Amino acid sequence: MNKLTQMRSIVAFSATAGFVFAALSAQAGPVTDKVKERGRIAVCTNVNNPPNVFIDSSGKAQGMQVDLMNDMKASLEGKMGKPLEIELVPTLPANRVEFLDRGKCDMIFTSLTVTPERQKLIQFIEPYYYAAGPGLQTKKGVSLKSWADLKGKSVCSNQGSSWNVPLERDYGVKIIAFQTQQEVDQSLRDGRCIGLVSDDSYLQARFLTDKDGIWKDFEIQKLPAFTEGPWGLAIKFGDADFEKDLSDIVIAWHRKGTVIEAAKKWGFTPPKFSEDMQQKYKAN
Amino acid sequence: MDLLAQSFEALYHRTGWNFSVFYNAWEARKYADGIYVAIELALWGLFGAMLLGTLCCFLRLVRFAPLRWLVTAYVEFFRNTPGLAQLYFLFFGIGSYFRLSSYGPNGEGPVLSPMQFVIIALSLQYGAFVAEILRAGIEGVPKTTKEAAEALGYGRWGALYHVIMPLAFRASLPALGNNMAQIVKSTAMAYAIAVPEALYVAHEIWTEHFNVIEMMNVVLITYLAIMWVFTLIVRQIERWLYVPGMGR
Repeated sequence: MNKLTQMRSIVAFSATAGFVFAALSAQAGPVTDKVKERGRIAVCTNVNNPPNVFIDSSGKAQGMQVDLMNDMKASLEGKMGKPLEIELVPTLPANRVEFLDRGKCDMIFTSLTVTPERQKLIQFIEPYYYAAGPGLQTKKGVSLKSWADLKGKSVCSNQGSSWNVPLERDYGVKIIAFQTQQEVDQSLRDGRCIGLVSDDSYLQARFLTDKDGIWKDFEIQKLPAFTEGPWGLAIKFGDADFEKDLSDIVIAWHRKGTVIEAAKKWGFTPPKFSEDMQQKYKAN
Repeated sequence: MDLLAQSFEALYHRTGWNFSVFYNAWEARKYADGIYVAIELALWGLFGAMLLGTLCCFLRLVRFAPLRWLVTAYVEFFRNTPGLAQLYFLFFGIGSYFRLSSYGPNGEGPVLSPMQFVIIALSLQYGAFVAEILRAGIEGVPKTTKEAAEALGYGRWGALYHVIMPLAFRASLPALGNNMAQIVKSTAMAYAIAVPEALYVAHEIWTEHFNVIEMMNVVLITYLAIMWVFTLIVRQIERWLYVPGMGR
């Protein structure tokens, strides 16, 4: 990295970087020791993200990611040789990275898409554990076979969604992008566009949890994903042991098909990514 | 052009400053379209505002009072509420309720495109300002001049058309120029309802490359350049309409 780029990064991320350095210097010992000593692992997650993570009527956390967390807990107990407890730290997309930096939790386990920006701030665990591609929600009765069928059609989306440019550039879709999800939803209801594009898993979750039937006239189109963005578990930089432990756990998930099972159990259609990973790690 | 594109690409690799809009052909075309849309919005908005403002200015001069009250209500409403709120009200309020921008069941096009909503919003908001500016211009014409016109045998409307309006319009020109600047800048709010003007396209580009700082500079300079051209045109108009001795 040359000087100017460095300067720019420093300016852009000075606040966050400050937290990273402060946290690193304050805690010299690896997170593994801390978790072992307390017998508790603090996990930053979005607790209002059904059916990935949600709190049921008895106050217990449930969901696909909770199942995976429990599996992770069992594996870590085996590695550390003592019982552990999971503490869920509720976060939002806007504050989860900061919470991890400040040591309010030991790891992030949520629908966290891996991006080059985030890779500069936090340590993602490789391999990544899940992925989501773009999904298309339309009124019932619209028949589409592929994304190419959308050529010249209006599709509503969020400003800043990473699907907008590929859809416009490669598929000739007319993207109408609004600032909030509510405006996108309203526009689809008003018929300003024939469909809305969003994270496939977000759309699936929205239909799986639609108790009031607000989307009963709509459906998700079964289109082959043209791209998928991987989701990763994340920890703070500087704990190779913890990184290795978690990495082993994710590899085991892919080998045994744990994630695919959990996804199916909660009604998700597993992404192509999960199948690819299973193929890859089965072979080893 | 190729040389320019190459030098911007080289700049990115050498320093990290990513002006992708200058070397990525797809983005360059999108951004050029964005500037075109911004100018189109500004011109239509300007036309609509002038038309509406002039109409309202005349309606205020008629003897039938309810018509004057109606115009006053319109002017006060649109002058004293935020433009973005008006646009949202038109698009998501009235537009959604009457399904003005919906596609028909068999794919028929909508009654109004998002772009037409913006033009209507700009015309309504700045028409109210134009009405006020022209009123001030008319009131600025000296009473003695009006009396002189009457003395020459002009009727009420004749005096307005031949004597008062030409003077009032010239006196209003600087304020109309300011109003025009506001219209040009307000085209950027079209971004909120997904009209692909310059700011909207810039946002799309920096989502892809995370080059917010670079694109923000490009956007600001774009608007400065558009404004510069518009200002030159207004100056030219002022020169054409110059009356020796006026305003002294």
